[in-house]
Formats: sequence, structure tokens, C-alpha cells
Amino acid sequence: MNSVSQQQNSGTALGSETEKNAGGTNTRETKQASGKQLVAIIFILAMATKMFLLPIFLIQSAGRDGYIILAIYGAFDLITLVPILITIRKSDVDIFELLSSVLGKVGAKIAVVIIWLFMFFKLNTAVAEILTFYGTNVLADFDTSMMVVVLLVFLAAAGTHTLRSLSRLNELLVPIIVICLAVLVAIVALTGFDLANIFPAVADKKDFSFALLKHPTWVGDFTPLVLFIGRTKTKKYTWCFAAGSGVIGTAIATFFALALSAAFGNVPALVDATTNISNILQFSVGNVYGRLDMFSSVLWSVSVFIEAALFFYATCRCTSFVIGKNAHFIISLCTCVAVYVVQVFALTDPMIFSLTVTSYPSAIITPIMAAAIPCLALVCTVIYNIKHKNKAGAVGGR
Amino acid sequence: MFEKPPCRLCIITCSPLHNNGMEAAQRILDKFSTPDNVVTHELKCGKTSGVLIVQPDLSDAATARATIFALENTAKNLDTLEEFSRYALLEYEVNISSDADDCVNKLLNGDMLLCIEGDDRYAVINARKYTTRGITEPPTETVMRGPREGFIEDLKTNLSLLERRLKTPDLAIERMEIGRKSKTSVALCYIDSVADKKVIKNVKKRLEKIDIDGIVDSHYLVPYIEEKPLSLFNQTGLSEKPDIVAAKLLEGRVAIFVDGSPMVVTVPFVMVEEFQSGEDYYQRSTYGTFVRLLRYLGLILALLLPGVYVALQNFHYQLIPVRFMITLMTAIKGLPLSPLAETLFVLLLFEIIREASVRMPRAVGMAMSIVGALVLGETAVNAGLISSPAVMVIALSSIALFTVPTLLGAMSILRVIFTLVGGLCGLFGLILAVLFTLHYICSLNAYDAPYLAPFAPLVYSDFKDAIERSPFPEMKKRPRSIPNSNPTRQS
Amino acid sequence: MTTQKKLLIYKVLLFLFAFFIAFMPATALRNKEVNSRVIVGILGLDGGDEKISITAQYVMPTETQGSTGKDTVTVEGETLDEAVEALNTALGRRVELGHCSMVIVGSDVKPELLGSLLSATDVTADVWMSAAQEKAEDLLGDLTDFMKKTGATDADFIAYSARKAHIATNTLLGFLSDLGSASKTAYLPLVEMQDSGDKEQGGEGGGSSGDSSGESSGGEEQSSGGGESGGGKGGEGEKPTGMKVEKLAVYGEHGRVCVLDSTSARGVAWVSAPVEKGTVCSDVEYEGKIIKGVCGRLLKKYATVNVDEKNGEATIKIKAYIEPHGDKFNSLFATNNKSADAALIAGYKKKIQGEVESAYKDCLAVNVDPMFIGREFYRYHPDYFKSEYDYSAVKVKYDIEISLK
Repeated sequence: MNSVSQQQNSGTALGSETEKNAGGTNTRETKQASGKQLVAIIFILAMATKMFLLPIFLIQSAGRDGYIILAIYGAFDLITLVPILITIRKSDVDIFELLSSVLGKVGAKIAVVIIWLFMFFKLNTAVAEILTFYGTNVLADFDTSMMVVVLLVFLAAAGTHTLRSLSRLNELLVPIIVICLAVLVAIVALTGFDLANIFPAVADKKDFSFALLKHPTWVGDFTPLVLFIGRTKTKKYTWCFAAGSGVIGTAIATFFALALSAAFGNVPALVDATTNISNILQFSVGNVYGRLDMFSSVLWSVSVFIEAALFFYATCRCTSFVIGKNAHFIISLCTCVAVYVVQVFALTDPMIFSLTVTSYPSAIITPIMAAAIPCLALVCTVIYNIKHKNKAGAVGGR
Repeated sequence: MFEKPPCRLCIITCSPLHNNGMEAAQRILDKFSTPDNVVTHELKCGKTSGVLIVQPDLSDAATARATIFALENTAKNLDTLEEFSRYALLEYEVNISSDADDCVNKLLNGDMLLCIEGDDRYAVINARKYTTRGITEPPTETVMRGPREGFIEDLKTNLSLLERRLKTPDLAIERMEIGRKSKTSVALCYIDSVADKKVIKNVKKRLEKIDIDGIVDSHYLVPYIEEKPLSLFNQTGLSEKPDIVAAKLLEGRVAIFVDGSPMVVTVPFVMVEEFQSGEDYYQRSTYGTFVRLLRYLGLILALLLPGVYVALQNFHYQLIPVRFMITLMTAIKGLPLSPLAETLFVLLLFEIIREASVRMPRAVGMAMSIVGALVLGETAVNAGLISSPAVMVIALSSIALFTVPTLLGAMSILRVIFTLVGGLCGLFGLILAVLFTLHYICSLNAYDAPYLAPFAPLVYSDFKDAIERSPFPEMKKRPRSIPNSNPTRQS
Repeated sequence: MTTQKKLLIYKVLLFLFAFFIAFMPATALRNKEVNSRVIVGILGLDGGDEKISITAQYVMPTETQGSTGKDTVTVEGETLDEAVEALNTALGRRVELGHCSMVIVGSDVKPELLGSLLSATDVTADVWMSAAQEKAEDLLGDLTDFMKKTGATDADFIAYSARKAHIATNTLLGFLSDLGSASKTAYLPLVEMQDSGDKEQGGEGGGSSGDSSGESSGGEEQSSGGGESGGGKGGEGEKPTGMKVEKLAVYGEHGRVCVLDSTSARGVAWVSAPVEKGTVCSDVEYEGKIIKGVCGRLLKKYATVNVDEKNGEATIKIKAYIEPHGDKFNSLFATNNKSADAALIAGYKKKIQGEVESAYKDCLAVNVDPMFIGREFYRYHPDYFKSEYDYSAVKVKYDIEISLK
């Protein structure tokens, strides 16, 4: 039997994930994503939000050295990816069952609440970025509250369906995103961009350190991958390809940040949310053909929608575990309402968003959580495997 | 031939009750609300007497005549149903049954029933003959090269068309009847050594669960065998051509034939089948690939062109090149409708014209087409109601829709939705709408076949017959997207 | 939840969504349509510290299919935002600045204004910049008349002309970035209009102004080398007959510092601008004779500025690929003599070096650095730049390499 879906859903009576147990804890037998899909998702996560508004904030703070800070954040995220990949490889059960088994039911719920808070925060950050980007570039003068509703319809669909659907969607879109990126890279490379503008590096150490410490809110992009634990069919070298795709994604994000830093390195004060890779690449195509670069930028920005959807899905699954019910539709709906309230009433002003993501509390907590969640997953996997080995040994010994 | 004797019932009811043959016949006639639907003929059967019951509309008159002659003249020394069937009626297919309900069923299918005195069983004689249309090329799947035979409404003929193409003992045909009143014959076909057992079991289970008054077309079965019957997207394949159905069976699918319908349903179904046409396989592979690419492009144009057009006009002027923007502004100057309203109006007009052109009689078709074209193309634009770019965009989109005619229904609706979203929320909304649709399609998964395979999940080996149409020697394996129990097609 | 309940919820949500969508502003209001905008093709900026004046050349579709009408309007405001608002009011519709193809800067414009233009308006970073001799308003008026005559639809032909004439061009972001660099210098090509009253016509071309100087997509201009044809409206009855892009306006931190003549302008282009078109003409000394005006087409060039902090030196390295042509070259070529090639190379080298040196000297005199020597020192030797660097004390060397094709 060799059907693709059966490979994804190799198992017994549970078979394919239905909506009933879409977030269920007993997923020992249910594989929702393939190794290829994991690799594709890692590529997207490595690149998505780091290419969006982060370079703008970094250039405003650190000038031409913004790309270095972005590379450092990328490297941090890649380090946190390692325990996640190990856990995905080694564990047969999902994160919720892992936590329940190691920490007990109550302990697991407390841990998941904390994870939920982090996921919800990252979700709102991603949504706010999308709204800011589109609201200033593509849809100027458009009411944010309307934009949020439109976005939330898609996110709700992602939350209601299974991880399999999201993984497949991502797998489908990655080639298109890669093509758009290739076009953008080619434009940068062929138009004789003055990349030497990034020199001298780290000329102002004070600004550099300040910017480095102010923007770690953008780390932790790989955290939703904990949902893939126990639900991914991995092969021998999947983890290799996964790590590689993370590196490539980070490298691409760094490259574009470098291009932006080179373009605006001398005039960091002119950078704002309307500035993005599309703006400076206009040098090449000129006015004759219209803003083709913006069109391709819009296509790659789809990757941020996917990342937001993944965070939304993670938030919904955490909620589902905490309340102990698999009412995906209602949970998605409630999460949408919560996001709407936050976006429309709390983060309504881009300035507030900017202040929130660059505030010291978020700058401290985010990297801690970004590192802690994967490490917790890894530790729980080790303990779980030891427990089960002992149990199996004890049973065999009788 | 069948002169109904006066007071036939009287003959039967007035007969002595000990006459079992008549009682057996009476049992059959009692099941009819109007017993005059069937004809009974009392005859001498060898040493005994009997009654022949015939449904004149569905049975062959010649067979009935021959049967009566045989029974009255050549069966003089015979007196049991077995002897009659073996000696007098040996050229006919005869079964003996004691189930009155089953016999009524068979009678209603065109068989004849013979009851003899002293026996309460029935001899069911096959005398079915319906008037059917000839085998012609199906209008929905015309080809320039390749076989032109198409299925018709007769199940027997359809099965024979299939069996001619798959001369293998592995070809399994399981028959059943669906419909309490219609008792429609349905045949489930698959190749036993290729099709997946779980799929077969699943399909059979779903078909057996159907409890309905009657089905008149294969499409009645579709909602029962689909995983998400309310979805906009087809989850079953439909074909009128025996070569296509045979090819699908060879890939591991299951086909469902319904008596009275030329459309055969196949499952499992993946979306890429919408882009595959039989003709792709009867042309050179390079041309087949080129045509497939055109279909994909056509679909994208059809779906997104109106939405992008409206979105650009309303929100994203910067994306429009200057010279085109000036042309556009000249064209839409002074229009009473907003771009969105104008586009929706033209869309609606096109949909009306399309629907009307399907229904209108041929005699007036030509004249009405000219009127439609003139009204839209010339008059409305000159009157300043709509602009020529809008007409051009919608016309191109509508023509592009027909590159994939099987997706016409879903794409027509999606096109309107995308136009609405694009006009109200710009490219942002359009992208989200496309993502939403793609996400939904990714969630469809019927009979263990991912709907969007081989694109999502990525199945490299199936790409040989997805966008590309590889030469046959290279397609050594069956598609992995469709569950099957024998992946090797050729060595 | 049963399917029925779910379906009911979906239907309710769909209805609410449709209701909500129906009342979105875009449904009813038509002020977002493309026809509610006016496309501004070229923008002119004038003004110093007090008032800012914006002149906009806007494009209007006419009745004839595909043709456009152009006109200009001038408004004033105390700030750029106010001036743009005044522009919206003057035109009766919102201006679409995203399609602006060129910005002309008057002599008194401060660079901060251009920074606001980039960050506060829809003008894109890649818009071509040019400078007017005096007032942008006058130049734009003449340019509009000229474009009407020639049928040009946008100002890209000006950038095309400049590049073909081997004059450095610059975009808005490029200009601001150059000004924000350590050299604190930027340049813009100076556009001048020839009018019918201009008597000095038909330039000798004396250098690499080339035969294509001032050529546009539909016009017939005459080149004039070094003459003074003003950029503004001339006397009464004088209509613009052609365009010139020969000079370079150089800017410092506080505004325009100088205007380089055509020779120095070409010198700057050799070093700083990625210009790869144009003609190079020079006098060649061969076998004791001087052959004047041997021209060649510039195919490609590579230019770098290498700096040496130890000696306080900067070496301007230029490698140019030239394809000589013309009867004078042919007669030289006919000799089939390596020394003829060497003489040709020497001639071009001398010419190019002369132009670069002229540019350097002229700029040094007014303390501007359009060859970005200071920037190179800052990039690779920031400590030296901060402590010891003195632009006037830098020893500049020239390393010109010519390759004939």
C-alpha cells in the first residue's frame, strides 16, 4: 500500500485526523505532516516576519548595521530549532501528551497556558505587522478594523481545519514564494546595487547594542513547530533538510535586510513602514511597467499569512487542550474575537504596536520563551522515552 | 399481438382456487396498482396448463411469441418448470424463483414470468428489449483524435463497452439495485488486482446505505459517495467515454454505472483530473503538456482576472503602468457605475447569455447570439453604460473558464466572489480569498486521496501526468495519489 | 456539533459578512476609483526657507483614444504637506504622485525638502531627479510645451538622454543617500531648454557630449556645447525647440553649491555614475600629426576609488571599453599598426583623465566631493576618517585603462 495519504496517516483505527480529534492528545498513530512539509514550513517561518517590518525597525535604530542584528536573531532562532527537530525526530506523541505524561495534567495545563500566552502574543504581532504593511503600502486609507475581519476569516479557517491542511497549503505555496524571492534576488543582484554602503560595520557600537537589545520580540518564529511533534513522518535525513531550509530562509531574510540596509544606511531616518524591499527594487524596473516589484513582494508576503495562520492554529490547539474540549469551530471563533479586540482597540495605532514590540518586557520575555519552549519539549521527550523504556523493560522482565 | 382478453381478472378470480398456477399469477398481479400494465396469456404447457405474464413495454414481442409457440407445441411431454426450461426453452436464459417480489422486479425489468398449474414457483425468462439510442460521440467530451464512442442510457450496453476494453477476469462487476420504487440497476466496477480494497469497501458501504425512492441519473448517487457533499468542488469524476473510464480503472479507481444514465461516476477523484482530457493521451506528449499548461493558465485567468482588474482600479493605481492607466481612465470616464458594480454587471450579463445559449432552441440560437454580442459589445459600451476594458476582461475570463469545462460551476461562483472581494478589499482581500480557497481545497481528502495531489502533498512521481504529460513508456507506475494495491503499471 | 448546526452558523456568519461588506466604504463611495485621481507626471520644487512652491505637470486623458493632454499648475505652501494639499485643491481631485517619473529641483531648494518628499508623499524612491538652472516652475513649463510638441508621455526620455550623453543621473533615494554619506555631496543633472531665440546652435561636441545629446523619444534637438541657453522661459514668442542635459548641479548639506560645466560633469559621470552609454571623442596624436575628434562608443566601464589611509591617497581607477568608429578612426585603423592603437588609447586616456581631473579640481575649489572619496575613506578606514581625514589634502591619482573593441 503506497498511497500518499496513507503514508501521512499511517496508523490503525484512528486513521486520518478528523475534526473530532484535530487537536486531540492521543495522536500516537496519527501523522499529520510529512517530512517535506516540515521542511517547507521551516523555510517559511525562518523568513516570513523577519523580512517584513523588522528590517525597518532595525535600520531606524541601528542604521546600516540592521542586517547584522537580523542575522544574530536568525542565528538564535536556528539554535532554538535544534531541540525542536530532535524532539520531532524522537517523539511519537504530541506535545500535549508529552507534557501531560511528564508534568501531570495540572502541570501540563499550566505550561500550556504559558505557551498559549506566547503564541497569542506572537499571533498578534504577526497580525499587526500584516495590517501595518498592507495598510501603508497596498491599501492606504483602508480601515484597519475591516482589514482585520478579512484576515481573521482566513485565520479562522486555518484554526478550524487540521494541521494537515495547513501543511499542504504551505507546501503548495512555497514554490511560488521561492520563485518570487528568486526574482527579487535577481533584481538586486543584476541592478548593480551599491552593497558597499553597509560599510563600515558596527561603527556606532552603542546604537548597535541598543538596537540588538530592543528588538528580540521577533525571535521565536519556530515555536509553533512544537505542534509537529509526534505528528510528522520523518525519514532519516529529514532533520538535515529541515535545518538546511532554516538556514536558507534565514540567509534570504538577511540578504534582503542587507540590501535594505545598503539602500537606507545613509538615511535611516527616512525609513518607515512604507519602505520595504519592493520600494528599493523599483530602481530596476522603473515606472514603465508599473510596480511589478510590489506585485512580487505581495506574493512573497503570503508567507507572513502562513506564519500568522500557524500561530493562530497553535493558539487554538493550546486553548483546546486547556479547556479539554475539541470544539475547534467555537475556539477559532473566540480566538478571532480576541485578536480583533486586541488589534482594533489595543494596537490600533502603529505607534502603539511599535512601542509594544520594542518594549523591555517583550524584549526580555520573548527570547526566554523562544528558548524555553523547545528545551521543555526536548526534556519532556527524554523523560518520556526513559519512562517508556523502563516500562517496556519492566514488562519484558516479567 | 397481446390482445387483452375481456375480463381477464374474471378468468383468474373465477377459476377454482385449487388452481395453484393461477394463484401464483394472481399473487403477481395483486402487486400492481393497475394490473392492466401487464399482460397475461393462458396457455397449454406440455401436459399441464400455465400462464405467461409479460410486460409489453419492456419485453421483446418476438421472444414472447416464440416462447408461447415452444410451450404449446414442442413441450407436449413436459410438465415441470425444470423440464420446460431445459428442453423447451433452452435457447433462453431461464431462472426459477419462488420469490414473488423478486419476480415482480424482474417482470418490471422486461423479463417474462411463467407459472404452471400445481407449482407456485415462477420461471423467469429473459426477454428484455428496450429502445435505446445509438452509440454516438458524447457532446460533453468531444475530441479531435481518439475513440468517439460514448456511453448511453442502457447499462448492459455500457458494460459491454467497458468489457471490450478490459478483457480481464480481474474486472469485477458488482450489481445492485438502488431506489425503492425505481429499482435502478447500478453496477460497481473495478479491477480487483489494482483497486484498493478499503476504497471498494467504503464505496459499497455508502451505496448500500442509500435509502431513496428512486434514482434517475448517476448524479443522484454523487452526494452519497462524496465526503463533503455540500462542497463547491467535485469530489467524484464523471465521464461519458468508455476509454476514459477504462483508463481510470487501470489506475485503481472504482467506477459506478447507473442504468438510465450515460454518465459514469469514478472515485477516488483528485483535482488534477479536471485538467486531464482524454485527448491529451491521443496527441504527442509535448503538445499534451502545452495544452495542459494552457488549461492551468486559463483557470488562473478566469478566476483572478476580474478581481485583479477591479482591485487595481479601486486601490492599487501604482501597480498600473502609466500608459495603461491613462487608457483606462479614458475608457471609464463618465461611467455611471463604479468599477465593481460595472464588472459585476458585465459578469452577470455574461452568465445570463451563457445560460440562455445552452437552453435556447437552435432555430433562434444564431440570431440571439448576434443580439447578445451586439448588445454587450457595441451598444452598451457606446451608450456609456459599461467600458470596453471591462467587457474585454470579462470576455477573456469567460472564455478562459471553458478551458476546464468540468470546473465551470465552481469557478463561476468563485469568480464572482473573488471579484467582490477584490473590489471591496483590494489585493489584500483577494490574496486572502485565494488562500482561504486553497486551504479549503487542501483539506479535502476523499477515499484517502488528497484532493490537491500531486501538488499538495507533493508527490514527485505523479507530476509525470499532472502538469506534464509524459510519454507512456515513462509512466511506469500508477499514480500514488490514488490508493491502489498494485503500483506497477509497466515494467 | 451536528452538520445542521454548523451549516446554520456558517449561513449566519456568511450573511453577517455580506452585510458588513455591503456597508464598507468602498461599496458606496466612489472616491477611491482611479478616475478620482489626477496623475502627476513631473513635479517641480522651488522655494527656500519660507515658502515652498510645487509645480505639477499633470496628465489628463482626452477624447481621442490613448492620447493625453498635459498641463501644469503651481501652488504654494509653507510646508510640503500644505503644498500637496493645495495641489489637491487646485486640481479638484487627489493627485497620484506614485506615477511621478521625474522631480525637478529649483536652485534654492534645500535637501531636507527632498527627504520629506520621499517619506511623506507617495513619490517613489526611484523617481528621476533633475535640476533647473533657476526655477523649476519655468523649466517645467517649457518642458511641458516640449513634451506636447514631441508627444512624449513621461519624463523617462530625459533620463535616457542623459545616460546616452554620458551625464550622471540620480534617483531621489540615490540623491539623499549620497548626501547622507560621509562625503555629504550629491549631484543632479541640470536640464536646460533651448528656445527659438537661442542663437548658439550646433555644438562642436568638444568632448563626449556625443551625437545623441538631448535626443528624446520623438524630438529633433540640436546639441550645443557649452552655450548658454537658459532653462527658463525666454523672451516673448520664444518656444522651446530642444533640450540640453550637459551640466551637473552639485549639492552639499545646505543646498546647491555649484554647477559643473559639461567637461567636469562628464568627469563626475566617469567615476560616480553607472553610466555606460555615450560617445567618447578625443584628439589623437599619431606620427606627429594630431587627428581631431576620433570618436568611439562607450560599451562598458568599471570605476572604483581605492583609498590608502597610510599615505592619504586616493586612486581613481577607471577601465573603459570603447568601440571606436567614424572615418577618422577608419583611416587610423587602415594603417593596421599597433602604434595607431596605442595612440588611440593614449588619446582616450588623456581625454578621460582630463575630464576627471577637471571635475576634481572644480569640486575641490568649492569643497564638494561628488566622486565620494571621503565616503570610501569612511567605509574602509572609519577611524582615519574621523580623526585625520582632510578632503583638500588627499592626493588623488588616476589609473585609466582603455580597452578597444
